[in-house]
Amino acid sequence: MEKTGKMSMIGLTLLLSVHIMSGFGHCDASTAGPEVAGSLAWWVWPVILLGVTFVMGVAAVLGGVGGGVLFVPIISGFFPFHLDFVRGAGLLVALAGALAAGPGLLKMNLASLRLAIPVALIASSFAIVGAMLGLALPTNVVQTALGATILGICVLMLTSKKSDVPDVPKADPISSVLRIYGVYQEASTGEVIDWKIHRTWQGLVLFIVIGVMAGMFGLGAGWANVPVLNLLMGAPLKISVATSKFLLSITDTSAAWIYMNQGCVIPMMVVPSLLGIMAGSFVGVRLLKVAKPGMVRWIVIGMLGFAGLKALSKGLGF
Amino acid sequence: MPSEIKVKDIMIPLSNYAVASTGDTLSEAVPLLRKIYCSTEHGKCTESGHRSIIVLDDDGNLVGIVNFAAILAALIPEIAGGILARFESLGISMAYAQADSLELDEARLGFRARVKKNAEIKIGSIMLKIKGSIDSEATVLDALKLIYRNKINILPVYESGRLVGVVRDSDLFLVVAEILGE
Amino acid sequence: MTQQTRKSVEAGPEQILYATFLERGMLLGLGLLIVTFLIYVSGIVKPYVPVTEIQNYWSLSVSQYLHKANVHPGWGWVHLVGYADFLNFIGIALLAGITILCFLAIIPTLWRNNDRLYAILSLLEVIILSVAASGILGSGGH
Repeated sequence: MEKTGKMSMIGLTLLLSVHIMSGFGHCDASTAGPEVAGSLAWWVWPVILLGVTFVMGVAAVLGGVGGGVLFVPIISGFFPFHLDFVRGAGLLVALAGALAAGPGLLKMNLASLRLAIPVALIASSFAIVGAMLGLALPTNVVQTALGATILGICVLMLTSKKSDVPDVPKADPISSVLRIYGVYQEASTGEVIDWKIHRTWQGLVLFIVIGVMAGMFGLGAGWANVPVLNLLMGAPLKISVATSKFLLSITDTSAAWIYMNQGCVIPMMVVPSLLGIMAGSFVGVRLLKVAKPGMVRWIVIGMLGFAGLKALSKGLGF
Repeated sequence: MPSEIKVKDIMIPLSNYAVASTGDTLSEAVPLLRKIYCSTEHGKCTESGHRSIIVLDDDGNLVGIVNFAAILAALIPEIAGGILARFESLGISMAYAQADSLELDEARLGFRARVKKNAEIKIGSIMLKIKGSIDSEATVLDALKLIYRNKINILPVYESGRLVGVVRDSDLFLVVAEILGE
Repeated sequence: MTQQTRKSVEAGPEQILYATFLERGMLLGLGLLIVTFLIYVSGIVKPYVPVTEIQNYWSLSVSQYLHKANVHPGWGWVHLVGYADFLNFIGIALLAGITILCFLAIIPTLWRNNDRLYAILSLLEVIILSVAASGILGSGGH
């Protein structure tokens, strides 16, 4: 019981700190140029970023939410950074997380390279489209779309089901030709399960949409990848989660380059965020071994919803 | 005198050891090691047998040994393994935790299954490679020299080109210690 | 070990190869990033945009930033690598680019194992990612 109390305190602290930050955020310097001397010491914002992303990393792990889906909504909603730079940083943050998890997931054969490659081709190509679109459209349009998407993600997180080992009666022609199937070992029973997928082309079509969204908003797309792989295409949950994480490394690579080449990467923002989230995730995993409070997921989804409303308000201008 | 004692007088015969080939898996080799190590009497593990597995290649030459540490690191890499193995395991936990898919009990439930799965590794890939060899007719001094030059603590002993046993730094120690015991 | 169903709990050779490359590149990239960032914030090497001024730019849109700070987009950062802030781009570029190298690395293995289709798919992925990385694709900016 006291563990739940501690976690709720962490969550409330996050809420509180973000509200304080949004106070800073209202000093919008969008019309000021380099003539205006910085009102804060140069290191204040990076340190704040480090702290907030650290909490974000912990919350992401405890709340069962991807770090990549928290970054852009929360940072763009409550901080004075322009959405262009937030998305650039967000992609790199999500990418780094996926790159860190990749080797382990591949070596343990939890992530399926065969499943990932065709999907990645679609997702990464359309992530490029999304990124270019996202940088070409006026900011308030992207902001509004981002807000709506975030609210949709919240709904998805609240309602989505999971299927440990979906029933796939027969592999469809495409996945048979591509030989996308595998064997995985259920940890608790030691039972070895053959898996295959179906509805491959429907899945690939959905990945077009997922790719565009990932590129346009700089969000890690795990919240979308897993349901498509697991519920639509029928891959076991374990395989879907791992392949999804691995997939992110490819999708976000293509989008990140577009943002980088457009100049949307500012090291002073990216590096503290990256380090913060990774450190937070590391701590989160250790905390998870001690207790998993159900409260954190609600708090996190609540924060996301709040960020979505903020983005909508920014985009629609009220 | 150490210069006159031959290696064949102090060597441990191959039959006292658990022996496996490079292509064998841990799931095959470990039960063998347990049997030798335990040398059970009345159902109790006496822990008096040798603690390493001797690894031979396809030609019957000794190419490596596997000890408890190597076995544990291979079977439970997330705890006993090197820093890279632990980093990888952390990455996997992060990925599943962030997808709301990490069951706390999974770590415990999955332990036996993971050990069994990790036991499929071939011992050739985790063994400590042993270089060098000595003939059974050679002297103890020659053996000492080789052991220190090759920085190993176990030396395969061959007789007429056939592996017959091993000589360890502990065997050589006993010979030299006898001098001080005089 | 060719077209036959490789139904094993173990990962295939190309998957292990990809993972190995990925691990090395990722650790190197992260390490570089940390080192260069320390160089940047410690002021040992002067940055292109002074640390005190960068906070004036990050609330502007990217096109305004590029204009006001006099930064050239795309691979222009390579010329500025002598400056502490753009030095960080080496680590960032490695992290962003390691996936491309991983795909390149597995193509020969796939081809040799008669997995021609996947070798071609991997090559396609290399092309797509390289096109994104090259900066050929400009965008309007706002």
